Amino acid sequence: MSKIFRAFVENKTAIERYLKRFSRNAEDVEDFLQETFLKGFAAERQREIKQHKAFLFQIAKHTALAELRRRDKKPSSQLEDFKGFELLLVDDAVGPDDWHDSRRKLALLTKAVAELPPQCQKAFLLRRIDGLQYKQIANRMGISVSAVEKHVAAGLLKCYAYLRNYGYEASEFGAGAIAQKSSSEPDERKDESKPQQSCSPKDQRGH
Amino acid sequence: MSQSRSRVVPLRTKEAIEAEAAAWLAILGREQLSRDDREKFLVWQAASQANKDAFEALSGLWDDLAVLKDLDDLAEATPKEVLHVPPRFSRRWFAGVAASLAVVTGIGAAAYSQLYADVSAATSFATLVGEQKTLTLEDGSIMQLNTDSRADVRFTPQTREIILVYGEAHFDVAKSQERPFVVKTSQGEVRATGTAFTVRTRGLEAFEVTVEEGSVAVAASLGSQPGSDTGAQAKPEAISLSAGQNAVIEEDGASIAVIKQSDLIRKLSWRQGLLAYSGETLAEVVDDVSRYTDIDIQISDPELSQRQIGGHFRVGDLEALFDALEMTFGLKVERAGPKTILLSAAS
Repeated sequence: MSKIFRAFVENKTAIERYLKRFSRNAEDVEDFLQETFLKGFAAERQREIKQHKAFLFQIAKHTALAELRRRDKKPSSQLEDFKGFELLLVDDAVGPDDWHDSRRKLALLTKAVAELPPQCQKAFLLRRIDGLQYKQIANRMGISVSAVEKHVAAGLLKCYAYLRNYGYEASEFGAGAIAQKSSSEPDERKDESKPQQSCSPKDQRGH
Repeated sequence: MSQSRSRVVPLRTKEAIEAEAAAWLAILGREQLSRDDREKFLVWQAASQANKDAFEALSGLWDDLAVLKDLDDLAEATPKEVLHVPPRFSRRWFAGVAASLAVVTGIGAAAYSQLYADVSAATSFATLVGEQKTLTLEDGSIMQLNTDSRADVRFTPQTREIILVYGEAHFDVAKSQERPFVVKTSQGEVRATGTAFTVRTRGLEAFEVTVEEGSVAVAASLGSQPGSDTGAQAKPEAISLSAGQNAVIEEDGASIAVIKQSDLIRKLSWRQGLLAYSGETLAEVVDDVSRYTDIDIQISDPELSQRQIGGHFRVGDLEALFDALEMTFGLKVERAGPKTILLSAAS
């Protein structure tokens, strides 16, 4: 499990309570909370985080304030910008519902990935997000190519198990069905059948 | 691995099939796929419907996971981590302050008028709650007023007199043997020639002096003496305080303490616009913070009052303090009204 995810899970209630200071709307709080996790996880991938808990609170505040500020400004800036034809240029093609759906999907899958063991997660994301070749990943992590392959396979398998455990049917994957269902929190799912696939291949040379 | 099993069809669990499918997906992701592997994969896939289904489901998930690429944009939209370091002030900062002393006083109106017999030549300076001011006096001395303070300055060719009516002030005194620099409070006075110190009034009965450099003579005015026309003119034996010493002068005597440099720095941190604490109780912290705000901060649980607090906060950024109380100290911070904050134990 990633450190920031662990900090998030451990402090979720406190962060939630903290976010309630910024908005009394439960949906807002849920959105901010989700965004806090996503940003924290995204940031952790790119830079070393020293104080995970404090950082999450910082993101939470930043996220809530930015959103509230955006809403504050919106009416006036819309009035200024509204000159008929300019409406066509507004690139708000994604409606709020679509946005919510794609964010939920992202949050769900990110949580699945966040639970992977660190080495496995790293290899998996270098492959899936950054699109690196196995050899490049192996060099970067100081492990063998076959270890990388095993990490990628194990990572995928664990994400799969995570989602199945959370109630998704095998047939739903790849069919765009994921976003619609993910309205509740994945980390509140039942924890019955966690497969214990090894994620540290024996031929790993360390790092 | 599955390749060897293509001839026989053993009984396999669903998990085993899924593991094979995942392994194949990883193999197919190789930069160069050997003809051999490719053929073996096709055989594996054709071997059973279960194999086919598992592979399809996992590839579907792999496709779904493409959404993770959005994380890169999110990382960009994330604030830089601000580290909360425990309060530690640099020595350089400390050495940069030539000499200073602080006095705090609290005086009632009656004591004030008594103290203030000759009001004619005085100039008043005051700060509002939450405000701080730094003033250069005509002799070159620097007076810094903390929140909610008032000082009247009365300079004559013979003396330099400051009357700290209430609040807290720090003085960086310009050297002058001929004109003593005297800070008066309703409860006594602090005399210096060239030095730096802080005086803080403590309610109506006491005041506190902290000497940063040089030395000062502190004299308590012996209560309300009927014979003396102003309290400040009473001349009891003076106590000498030197750098690094702190004294609280009360009606029934003075308690003098040599304080650690770290405590000294903390006591003077308000001059940098900081409130610094290190193990003070929540009650003390709330008491101190309340000097800087008109918000009423209440502690709901008496047990909580004794909780020790450390950290430093910018004067005027109460939110940061509340954040810390909530995050680091696990308290619940509630806005009970427009001007009331309620602190309680988190449930």
